[in-house]
Amino acid sequence: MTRYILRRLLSGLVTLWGISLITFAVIQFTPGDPAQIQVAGIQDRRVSAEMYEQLREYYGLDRPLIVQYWNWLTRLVGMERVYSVRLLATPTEPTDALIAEVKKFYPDLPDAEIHVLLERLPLTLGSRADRVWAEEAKARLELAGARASTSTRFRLVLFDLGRSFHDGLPVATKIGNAFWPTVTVAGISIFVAFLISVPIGIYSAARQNGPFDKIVSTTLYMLYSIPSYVMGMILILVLGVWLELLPFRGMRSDSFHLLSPLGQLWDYARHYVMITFCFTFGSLAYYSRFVRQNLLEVIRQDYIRTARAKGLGETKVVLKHAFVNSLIPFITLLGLTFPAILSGSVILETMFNWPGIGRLYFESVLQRDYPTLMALNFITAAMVLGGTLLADLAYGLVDPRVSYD
Amino acid sequence: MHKLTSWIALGLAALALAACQPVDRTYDPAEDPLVNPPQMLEPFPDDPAAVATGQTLYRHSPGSPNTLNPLFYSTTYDSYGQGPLFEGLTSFDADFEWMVNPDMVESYEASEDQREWTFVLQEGLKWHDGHPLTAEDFVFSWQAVLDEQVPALTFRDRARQIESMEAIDARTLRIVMKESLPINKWEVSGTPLVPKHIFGNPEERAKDPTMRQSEYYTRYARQQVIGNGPYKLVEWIPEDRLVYERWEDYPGEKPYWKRIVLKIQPDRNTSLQLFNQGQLDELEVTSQQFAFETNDSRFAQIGNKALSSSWTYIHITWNQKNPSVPFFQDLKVRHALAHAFNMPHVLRTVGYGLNTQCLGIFHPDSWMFNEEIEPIEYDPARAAQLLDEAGWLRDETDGWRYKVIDGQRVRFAFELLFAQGQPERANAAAVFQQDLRRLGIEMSLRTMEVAALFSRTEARDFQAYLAGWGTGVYPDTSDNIWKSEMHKEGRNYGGYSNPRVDELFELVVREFDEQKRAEYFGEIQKLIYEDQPSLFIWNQAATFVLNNKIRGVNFSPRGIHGHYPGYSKWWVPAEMSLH
Amino acid sequence: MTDAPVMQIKSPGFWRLTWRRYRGYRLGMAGLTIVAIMFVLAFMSPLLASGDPIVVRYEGNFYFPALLDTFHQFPGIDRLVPKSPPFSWPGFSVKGALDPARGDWAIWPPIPHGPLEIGDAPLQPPSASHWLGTDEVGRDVMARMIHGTGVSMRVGFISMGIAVVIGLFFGAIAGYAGGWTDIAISRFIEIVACFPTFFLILAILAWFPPRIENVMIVIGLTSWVGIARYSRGEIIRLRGLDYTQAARALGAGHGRIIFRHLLPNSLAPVLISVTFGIATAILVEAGLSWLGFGVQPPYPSWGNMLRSGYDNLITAPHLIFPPCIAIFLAVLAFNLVGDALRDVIDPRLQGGGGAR
Repeated sequence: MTRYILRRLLSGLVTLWGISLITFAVIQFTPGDPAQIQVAGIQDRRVSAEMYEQLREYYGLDRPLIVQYWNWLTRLVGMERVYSVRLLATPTEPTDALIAEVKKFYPDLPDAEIHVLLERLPLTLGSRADRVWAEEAKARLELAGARASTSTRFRLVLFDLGRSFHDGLPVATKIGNAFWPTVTVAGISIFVAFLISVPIGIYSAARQNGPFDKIVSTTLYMLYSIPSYVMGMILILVLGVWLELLPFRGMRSDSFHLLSPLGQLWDYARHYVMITFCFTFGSLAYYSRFVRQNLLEVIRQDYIRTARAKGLGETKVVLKHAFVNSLIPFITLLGLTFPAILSGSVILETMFNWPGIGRLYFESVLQRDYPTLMALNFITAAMVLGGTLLADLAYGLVDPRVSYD
Repeated sequence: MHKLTSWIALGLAALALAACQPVDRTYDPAEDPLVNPPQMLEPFPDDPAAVATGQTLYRHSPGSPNTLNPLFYSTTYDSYGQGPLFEGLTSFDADFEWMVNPDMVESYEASEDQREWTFVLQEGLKWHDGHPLTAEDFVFSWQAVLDEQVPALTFRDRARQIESMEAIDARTLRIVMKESLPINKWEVSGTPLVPKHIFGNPEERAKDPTMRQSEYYTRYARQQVIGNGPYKLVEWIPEDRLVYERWEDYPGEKPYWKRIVLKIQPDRNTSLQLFNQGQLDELEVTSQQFAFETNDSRFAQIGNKALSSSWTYIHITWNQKNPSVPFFQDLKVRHALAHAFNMPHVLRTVGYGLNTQCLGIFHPDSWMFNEEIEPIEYDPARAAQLLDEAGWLRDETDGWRYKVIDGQRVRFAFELLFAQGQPERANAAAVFQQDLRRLGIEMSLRTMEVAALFSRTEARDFQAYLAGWGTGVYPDTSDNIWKSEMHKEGRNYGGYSNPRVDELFELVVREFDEQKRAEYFGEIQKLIYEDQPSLFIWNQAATFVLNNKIRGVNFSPRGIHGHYPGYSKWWVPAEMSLH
Repeated sequence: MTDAPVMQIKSPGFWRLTWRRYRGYRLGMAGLTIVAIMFVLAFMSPLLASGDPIVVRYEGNFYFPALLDTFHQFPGIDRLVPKSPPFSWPGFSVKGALDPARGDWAIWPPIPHGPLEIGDAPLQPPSASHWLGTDEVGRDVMARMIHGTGVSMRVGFISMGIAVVIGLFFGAIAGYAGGWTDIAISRFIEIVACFPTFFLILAILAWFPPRIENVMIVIGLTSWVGIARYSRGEIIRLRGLDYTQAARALGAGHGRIIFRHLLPNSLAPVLISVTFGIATAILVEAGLSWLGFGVQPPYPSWGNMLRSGYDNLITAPHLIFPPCIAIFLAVLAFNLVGDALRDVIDPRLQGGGGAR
């Protein structure tokens, strides 16, 4: 089991690395570069070519591609050289200049405490990945009469996704902001779809090709054949504009800040209704047919025949024996759909002004925001891989016959 | 299955019912009572009891600003976001006349040659956090823009026009320009203003010399913006809204609105629905929305329409320099293409009569415009004749036009690039495409992402492209587009070159006499129109809808925003309330 | 040729059996009917809607412009039987040029408008001269719908054709070769599966003009993963079966075993996923068009007509219905066919379960 997980993790890492490489290549070779877009977006058009070059330099786009990729990779997982400034000895009576220097490291500390601090030597004042900074600080301290030194060590850097070219925010923050709106919608949507489609699937399988099976499957396929944004458009027009039943913009109303906590929750809930429905209705056909399909397969297995032969009631056979076993592939499906929902929601999120991942993705592509794109592709891929792995493991938990060798 | 058939039948029946009379798709704004009605234009009353107090204005923006740090201003959305928060030394009024900002400047003095400027600031100026605002802040901001480590690229070229800037005392600022130019009065305050006590913090600057990346600078560019304008930022919910509240301690004249909410809403249809529900008070709409989607009773209950010029024109630029594009070097060909463009049809069916024919690089309402220009009319016969004269002859078998160039028989077929998401431009291109087909010229259309289009035009790698230029705001920046030397690194993408135009641009920039400047500009416009380096299509109208309780709407040549006083002098009558 | 009898008995029998069983599925048959109608519409589109007559006598000569257009849909025919001037001229229209006094006459298609023909009156509601009204530059919507059928069908079939070729290629090699080849290809399949499709599509369409061919290629390039996985699994299963072993024992080469024995027998499950894939491809094209990256106007596709309907929703609400209904029916039809095929082909699902 452990060996299996390890092997999967290892091969997953290789896959992730391959994805980062392909993403990087695709991004770099796609026409249009972020510096150009920013310079061209400037309104009064008085920006010279020199400015453009400076911007490219600022983003590091002037460096060779290999260096750029290496920098990205080592920021994600790598070592960073850190320089520390240490105060070794001070004159017995610390000068004001020295106090001032030390205070730069502890701007919030009152003078009295700095005196206390200076009695506990040697003292590490601070560290930063900047050699010049450390040496200048050391020189200033020595000028103020103290004895100081610099030291260096390596520090492990993990998951630094860099900063967006577009607005200078850390990519992690941007993705974090967009993550929850999308994840909550996707989560609720999958849960609701599960609640509806599993019973339908079971019943359809138990009455294969009966009237219920046919009517429901046709209805669900009809729903599946409506593009989700067309459904969104209809809902906005009918429920939002004509009947004014539900809000159709963003996650909260204009009066949100005036509402009680309960009222705020209700306000959120009302905003979730339409967009969640649009995410859900199409997948019902897929899920319920999937459950039906697997159930049909399971029903044919020997142990079900045995159960039936033992004289168990049909309901009991289907629910207790067959259903539990047909859950396995369903879990796999969930593991795979969740990430797909995350990235496949551009149109709906724009339509409902939902500040989610899909919109961030689309805008990053249009802006050629390389760091955000790299991170988004990387995270989505990691989620797909993680989802598959979890699903495979869950397989083993549900079905003891599955072995991992 | 029967159910399905009956549904389809029902749908078809509904369509058949709708099929009654042809609908008249012409629009005349003069006959629309909702367009610029007198009460909408009613100026701000002297009697303070006549206006409602504590009002909130919901404004619209199709996109989110990137940053509220004025150093890094780059897009229109940034200007929407920063507008209420920051004030500068100068501004312009509704007639585009230069003016000092009375809220900031007590008096000013300029030397005879307009090189040296001295501004005396108003007494008691301060930042949102109460820290006094002094001449030092201006000097600091100017230096920050010049700092190579700060990526304040939008303003650096402008900041370099300034030779020196010094704070004589806390309230007196002396600016010396590099050259003696008539445009100096616009350029003296062409750089942004940021608080020195925040941005100049030496510790933080040492940590992050770019002033853009660290947590500290990000905070002051997003959540905790310290400006000097009449509004303070309360909240910024990404991709959703920015909320501003009037700063009651503002030293200058306080604006009317208590709160301003800038709502971000990309989808056009949804935005108009939100307006109809009273969730937006102001919205820019398309010509089609203006003409046909705002005449129902629902809109009439809540909205008015504001129509004015915007000094933006749409054009198709021909690549005249690239040797691999052998079509457009010939003046006759360019004139033929202009004659081939069915202008009346496009103006009628694409802009619904709201846009006007573009007669060159300056708007007819501007002082630079040359009245003597004769419009090139739609005339396919003349176009065919000019093409024949230029040597592009029709092949009798396949009907396309060919010409032998350097021993090669070349067919007149080219690709027109334009940005996606602009239905009006796409429609105009489709009409032009059909007109050219009839003449035996194949124009294929290619819609592109904006980013990809930029990279093609920047690389001069195109045959023709369709886009828009903003125009006519003085100081004029169109020299960047039309001077020969700008083919290398400016925006002269098509490679237009006319020595006389180059010379005129050199002259006009140094000419102090207004009369002469107007003459130079007039000649420039005439020469460029006659040379047809671009096919000038239409002047875009500014089309807005506004809640009908709003009064005091004022226009500049660029529409209803971007000038003084703008929306700060809009108002709501006392007996009404917007929300 | 010892193995030949096996094939001859098995292969035709299987497909005939499938068809016989398939006919029992009424929904599946309904879906198939719609697909067939779409095929006919696509093939006949120049005869149904064109700005040129089917037959015309003009200045004493006979011409067949719309008829020729029908056959010019297939590559090569236009060089074999070219149109003659003036009908070969771009933008030439015989409308209004016919002079009965000269003996001119013409048989027009039921919808005498071409899909690109720009009219004078934009955004008109349905009427006798324009059955479904006109779009934003005055083109006939009915004509565009009919010609859009071909575009959408081509997007569906050709993109899935590309997907099948790539998918089967990788799946077959991985499944048959096993060992390191399998590991390498499986890793590659996994990478592509994890790669966000949407991003790849946008990136590729920034390179190449978003013409219909490129849209098809892009969709094909991004949807072969399922087929590859499926066929790999099938081939691994089939490889272990007796008749493959027998063929190998008789000295058949790898190529022969793959192409003659393994691939034909793994086609059935692939066919199911292709049917669903066509439905998805039509939806993907519509989604791309909605974002402005699909088939570009002026060329009609249901996707870009849907977008134009949304852009003009308030002014001309009639524009949204035709593409909506067409996409809905097409996707539904392919799904019904796929669903029925799945029940028919997969023997494991036959006659096992509860009440039938």
